Amino acid sequence: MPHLLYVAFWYPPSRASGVYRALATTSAFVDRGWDVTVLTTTREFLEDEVGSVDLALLDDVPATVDLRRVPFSFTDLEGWDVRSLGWAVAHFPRLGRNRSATFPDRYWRWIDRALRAAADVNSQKSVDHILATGNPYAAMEAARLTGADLGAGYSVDFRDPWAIDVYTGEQLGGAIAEAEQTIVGDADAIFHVNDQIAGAYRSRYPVAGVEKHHVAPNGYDADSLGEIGPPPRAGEPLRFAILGTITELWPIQAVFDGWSAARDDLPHGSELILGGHLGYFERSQSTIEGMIPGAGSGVRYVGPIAKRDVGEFYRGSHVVVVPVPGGAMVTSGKIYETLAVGVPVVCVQQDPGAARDLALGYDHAFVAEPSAGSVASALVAACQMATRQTVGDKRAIRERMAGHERIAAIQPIVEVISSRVESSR
Amino acid sequence: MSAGEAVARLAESGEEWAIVIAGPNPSGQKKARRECDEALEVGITPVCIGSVDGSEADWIVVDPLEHGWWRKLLADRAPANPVAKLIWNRVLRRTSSLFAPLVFWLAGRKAITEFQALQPPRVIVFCDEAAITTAWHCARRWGSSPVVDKVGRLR
Repeated sequence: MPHLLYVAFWYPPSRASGVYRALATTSAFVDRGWDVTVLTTTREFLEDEVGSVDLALLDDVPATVDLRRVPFSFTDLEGWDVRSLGWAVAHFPRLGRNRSATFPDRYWRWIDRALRAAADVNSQKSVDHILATGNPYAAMEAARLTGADLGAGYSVDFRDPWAIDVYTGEQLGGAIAEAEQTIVGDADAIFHVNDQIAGAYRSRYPVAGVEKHHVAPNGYDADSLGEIGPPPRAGEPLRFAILGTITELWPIQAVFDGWSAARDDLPHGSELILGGHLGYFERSQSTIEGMIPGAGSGVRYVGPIAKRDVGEFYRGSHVVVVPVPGGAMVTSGKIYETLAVGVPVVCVQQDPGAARDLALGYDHAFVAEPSAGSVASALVAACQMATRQTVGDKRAIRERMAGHERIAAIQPIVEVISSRVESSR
Repeated sequence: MSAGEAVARLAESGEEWAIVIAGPNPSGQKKARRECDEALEVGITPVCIGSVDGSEADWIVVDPLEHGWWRKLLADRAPANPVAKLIWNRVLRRTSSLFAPLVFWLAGRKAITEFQALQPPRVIVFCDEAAITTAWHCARRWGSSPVVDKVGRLR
């Protein structure tokens, strides 16, 4: 049985956006007959420094996966020998902080520890291939160095590009560019979430081997959809739903403005329900909370929705709104899930935008620019469709979306790595 | 609980105690909660120096300053001119983590001094960077006590 070492800094109980893809990746390899060991961070770091976890996600980790938790802390207290400090550093500890980063990523301190853990894993069972997912990109460097140490090949899964700004397309230089070039150059295979990003990387690294770049798109988890909800009764107030980790990058203000402008044209009592965490880090909460309109606005924030309750949340929704940050390379995994729910979808993203391009291919999706007028028109159009929709219409949409299930979408990663390892045996 | 009350309780019971120091920030305080629980598990009564919620039946909490106390103090003195205020806030943001350990020690020094009447703590635990100055002074005060970032390192 081949053995995959999967370096995924964000893994359950983290609730970072990349966790669902990481879970699907491990499941797909396990299903294909691989032994999988995951190197990830500790629950302590997630609780203390990130400030949130979703313990229910641990239930989705395949039982056969060997989870190795490698400690990380931004403050790195372990490195302090307090008793031996001089007066100045004891009173101003920042002066004594080790600032000489060995890798241009704020998680660089994790690399050495991950290397030691990887060597330990390999000593117990030989590793056949290493796969790393980023961000953080320190995970990719850990994979590269481990590969060199163990003489095993490695691959990387760029959920977001690193040396290319995903929002603007700007090409970064300096230490990041150098580090990325080395990682890409030495990797056996590189995976991207859409054609736009893969194309940008092929152009950036023509010498490193354009054939190494593959697309494994994001997708949705079928168990998140739940049962198909009933259509609204005549005159019934509609529930417009937004679900996800709400961040400052979302065009959320445009959605609120559009909602306010559209309310007179929607059934009386309709609501815009927001479900999800406010930001990935605890410190973002208050800023985002301040953006949510207050009582009387028809907007209601219902707090985080556990993964097992997502289906129920969607079941009661008549329209789903998905705000996506702009950018020709930004697809957002959420777009697949929302399109698969079966109800009309309003995708709010500026042009150019990869998510809106995807949504334009579906009759039940309405695309809006992040402006009040554009969002309002899309909400009203989606409302009209929702009142006409039947359960049969929703079922047909789900059938059409079946090919975008995450576990199916992730298969190119499993195929490429499996064939590579099999051919080298 | 005041430091005096804590000292009286520990002197009367003669129980082994640990000093767990958590600076005024959320991550240090979450860590402190866990370290206090960990100390209890190994039979050591934790004395937590910092703004940490806990059951006082199990832990002793001595809170030398409220959350963000000194930043608030400085913010109240911010200049009225918008440009000057912007610069003031930037300087404050940049320097707060530099000065936080010292300010935290100055706020907690008097309370910690009262514990000198007791046997040395079994361990001194610092839960974040802001706790380092206080831990350093505690280490000088109680030369025989180990200084660690986790109670678990005693094992």
